Amino acid sequence: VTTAKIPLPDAPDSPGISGVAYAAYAPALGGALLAYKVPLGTMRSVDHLTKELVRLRNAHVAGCQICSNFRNPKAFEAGFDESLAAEVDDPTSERLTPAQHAAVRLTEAFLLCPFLDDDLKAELAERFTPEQLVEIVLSLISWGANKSTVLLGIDYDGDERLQLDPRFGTDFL
Amino acid sequence: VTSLPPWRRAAPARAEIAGEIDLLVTAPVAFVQHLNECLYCTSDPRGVNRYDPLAGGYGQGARMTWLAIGNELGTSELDAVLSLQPDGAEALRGLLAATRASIDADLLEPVAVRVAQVLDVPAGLLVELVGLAPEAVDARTDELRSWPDAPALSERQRLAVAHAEQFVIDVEGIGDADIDQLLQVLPADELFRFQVGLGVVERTLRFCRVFEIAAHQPAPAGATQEVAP
Repeated sequence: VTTAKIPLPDAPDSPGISGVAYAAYAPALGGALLAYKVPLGTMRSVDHLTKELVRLRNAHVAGCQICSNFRNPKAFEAGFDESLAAEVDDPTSERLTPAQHAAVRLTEAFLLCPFLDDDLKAELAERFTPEQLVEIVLSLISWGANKSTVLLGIDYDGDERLQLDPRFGTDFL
Repeated sequence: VTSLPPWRRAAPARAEIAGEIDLLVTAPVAFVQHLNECLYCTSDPRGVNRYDPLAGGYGQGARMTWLAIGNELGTSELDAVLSLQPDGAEALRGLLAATRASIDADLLEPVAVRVAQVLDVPAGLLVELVGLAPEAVDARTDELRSWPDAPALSERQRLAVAHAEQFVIDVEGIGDADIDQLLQVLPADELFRFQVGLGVVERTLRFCRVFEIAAHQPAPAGATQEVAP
């Protein structure tokens, strides 16, 4: 069970414990993070399947329970199936296309060591347009918020499958 | 980690060049001669660090990013990259504005400067994108010059900068005791805002790092001097 490392005024045992911290301590910043997601949900230069693989790789690297449990329904419509969730962690997986592998490598570079080598730059430039690459990394700026919540022990550790919340007005989460 | 191109590592020499060019812009012949002969400029084939008096800044019309984007005169490299996804770019600037409004500048400024140093992101992007004042970047860079000793920093700032540095390099190196130590100088609500804002700044600068975006403005004078590794 995740234990919060900072005192929280009220931390019910419910999904989205980080929401308690945002509501109590940083409502403006939390609102800005949600607002940032809205235009990302309108970007369509990258397919939903590739973005879901990137999002899941980010979730796994960060060790974020809530992000790992979430599935974007749009990704299923684009061909995602549950067995692919573990494939994003396997650089030799034959189920991912070369472009998907390249996107995952970009994700890992962004998160771990953002000094890209020439081979990766060349591959990304071959597989994606500049618009697509910017969309992927702008998306990681949103998804990467879990690094802080995991550090503070306020990422939800339940195992329910979370779904998109239409109240956010976007298919991006 | 790929070794950086020589003109990146030559950045500390920029202050000298800037001072020299300030004089040379009033003497066009000497300026052209400078561009032709200066080892610094000629080692910068894409002109990232080249001062363009007509455009009024460094790197104008030059490109450092590896993204295949246009090279329109008068457009900064940052704007050129962000224009690929304008709605997302506008939202990012909004997120950064909320971050600035949520964190004490005495914490945000030195932390942002140090994160940029660790990620080798041009200090000018702290002004252009993160939205810090040039003089603040200059002053904080000066304060951090002797980091980690940095006597100009308060204990609260020192802990925040050390935390940020570890957060960027290896977040798993931050233990419960480190969080408890931060809680001694930051109340829980302020610590939470600081941590979330640090994350926003870090990811924004990683965006710049990944795409190797050049700064449009010259680095603040202090930022061009030797800094702690």
